[in-house]
Amino acid sequence: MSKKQSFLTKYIFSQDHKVVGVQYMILGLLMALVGGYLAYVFRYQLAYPNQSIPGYGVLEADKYNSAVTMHGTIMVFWVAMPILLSGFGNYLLPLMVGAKDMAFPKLNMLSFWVFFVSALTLISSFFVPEGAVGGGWTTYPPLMANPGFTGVGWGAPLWILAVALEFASMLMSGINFLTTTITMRAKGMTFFRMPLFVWMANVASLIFMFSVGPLIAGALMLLADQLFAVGFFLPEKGGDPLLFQHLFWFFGHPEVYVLLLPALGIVAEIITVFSRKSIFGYKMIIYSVLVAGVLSFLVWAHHQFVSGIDPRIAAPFGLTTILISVPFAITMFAYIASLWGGQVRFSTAMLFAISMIVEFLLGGVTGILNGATASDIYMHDTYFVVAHFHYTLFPIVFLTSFAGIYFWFPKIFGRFMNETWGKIHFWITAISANFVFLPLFFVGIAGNHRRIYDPSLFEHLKDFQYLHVISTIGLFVLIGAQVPFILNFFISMFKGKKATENPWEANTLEWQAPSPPGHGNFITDPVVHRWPYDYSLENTEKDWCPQTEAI
Amino acid sequence: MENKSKTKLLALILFIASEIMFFAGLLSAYWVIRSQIPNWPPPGQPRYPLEVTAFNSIILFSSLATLWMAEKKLSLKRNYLSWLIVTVAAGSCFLIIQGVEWFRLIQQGMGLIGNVYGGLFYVVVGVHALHVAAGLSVLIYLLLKSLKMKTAMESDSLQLGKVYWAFVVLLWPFIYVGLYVI
Ligand SMILES: [Cu+2]
Repeated sequence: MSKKQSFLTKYIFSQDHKVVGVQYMILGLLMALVGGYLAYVFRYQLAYPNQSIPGYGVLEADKYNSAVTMHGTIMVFWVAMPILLSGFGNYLLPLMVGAKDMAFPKLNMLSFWVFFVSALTLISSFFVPEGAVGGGWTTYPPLMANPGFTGVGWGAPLWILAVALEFASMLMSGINFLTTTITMRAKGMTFFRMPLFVWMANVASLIFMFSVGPLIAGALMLLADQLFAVGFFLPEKGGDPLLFQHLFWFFGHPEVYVLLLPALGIVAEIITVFSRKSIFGYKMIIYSVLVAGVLSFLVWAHHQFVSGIDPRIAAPFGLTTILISVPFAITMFAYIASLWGGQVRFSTAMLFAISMIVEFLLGGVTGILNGATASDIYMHDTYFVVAHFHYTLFPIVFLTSFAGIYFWFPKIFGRFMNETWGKIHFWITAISANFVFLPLFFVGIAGNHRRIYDPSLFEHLKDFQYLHVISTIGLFVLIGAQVPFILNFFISMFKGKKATENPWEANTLEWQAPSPPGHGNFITDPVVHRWPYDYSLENTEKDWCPQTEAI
Repeated sequence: MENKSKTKLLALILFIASEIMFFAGLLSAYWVIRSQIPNWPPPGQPRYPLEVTAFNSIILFSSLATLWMAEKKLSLKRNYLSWLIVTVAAGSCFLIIQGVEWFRLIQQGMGLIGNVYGGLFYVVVGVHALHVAAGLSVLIYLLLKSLKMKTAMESDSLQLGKVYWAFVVLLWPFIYVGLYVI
């Protein structure tokens, strides 16, 4: 009995930030399977319209809408955020600043279990009468404000409830990250000695906390429209549908950086370790990200260029959108400069990190075409936009998470993942992803609207059907490539090669703790003497210098 | 121990910051919709209750003053409980009067269905009332705890309660002026 209890408090209702972090990661990965399955279902329909889908059956038009909506919702809110920010953030942040745990461990445990309930709530909406919501992940009214339009009675309010719970959980995490970073750093850990990941996770939390409020206000009013038919967003009742778009994107654009920044942090830690070079322009990166954080609140209306907003409003938002690419261009150049001339070690983690930079650049560059009002009016709501944001989000969410998992796995579980299988996983994933998303740029330019259920019905799209087929076959390969990853993950947990404290010869504090670290993390309280990026210094026999080493 | 309470205060301030953004979103939504409706209030709808709520606002503001007094007395190790009780009473009074007004408005035909004018009032004022209720529960919890323990409470917990209560009270003028007065 007592043994069982200790299992419960150790692995299930744990207040240890490391366990909470791993719980977030594993639940996020499970949700990725759901999101991936949905992608498989609707991509099958797009390539081979109206045929029976193996493992699903025939996809009806309304269920197609649900599948697309839930795919987007799950991948952004239940995969990207929990893995990148809550998962890696919870696991790494206290270790990296040299703290024993989070400032509020109980709140931390609560945040995971609220997240767990939110995931259950979302999944349950598949099984209510009329099924899950199908109004798109942006849940625009008037479609979403009036059940008469979508036929969705239960799915829509459940979606709002689930998202609200998820946000509550993220808010708790964010407060924990910021308070821990501000008040619990180890002796000598000044702000400008913190690893970039810690900076990024904190700025991301701040951006989230300042942007989420207006969306909650909009969601509350949307809920009132759904349940009490008030009409806040219905023009015939005196409401304003554009208002919701403003409230949504005031949050929606900063949200992109809530995902991007932790990813950039993870990539920074990995490329410095495996190129054996210090990061180029550490402070410049931090200032760039802070500037981008502020600018991210001033770009939202670029999502609404064709929504009927005043062109005099559109113009300044086009300008800020071009401006915000500057700090990220600086960051990207700093990363490339950090790789330049290094003694690169091509581990699986490093391969994923480099591929993240490459593929993200393509996503970033195509975003400029959407930010410029003139070209966006043509591109808007086509597959070009879909291809663009998948070229940003796929590297951010998946390539980065894989990089992080291969890199920190030895710390988390005390064992390595298999590198050969890791590299097989990497090459198939990185290449097949391009087969999935690259064709979508071209169908988009050809004029394929992004919410079309059956492209073969349109004369002008018939010649481009083969591109949909390539994309879908690419997805089959991409999903198949995850099988070796999943097997590698679970087998390595128990049978992998044992890892020492600091197997990658890295500088940050988490590598000074045992692998895996016990409750309380460090054996002796660390004292920090230097920044985390002293690699290949002159006049030293080893080419790394842990932060705890005196100068 | 002193450090821990500073950390708690920091966490509370961060939470309040995100709450301020929430109310900023809510109030701007109110202004956007209102600016598009030509007649305010629409024909056949009652005006939002200006006078009673003015009186009620005074009650809410005095509750902040009494809470401030309670904190002051506690720091001087004098009897602070009566001030805390007055604060809780004033806060409850505010909520009760708000509730009575809601009933009156519903009776006068200010419904929710298909009524953006009514909906804005109930959502904005209702969300604020929920925040008042939350702040009040914290104060009542502190009061009961210190009555039960029969010793003076830690000034830190009272400080946290006061910061949140101050947020709830100082938010109110923005709602009162925006919805009732203008
Ligand atoms: Cu945007």
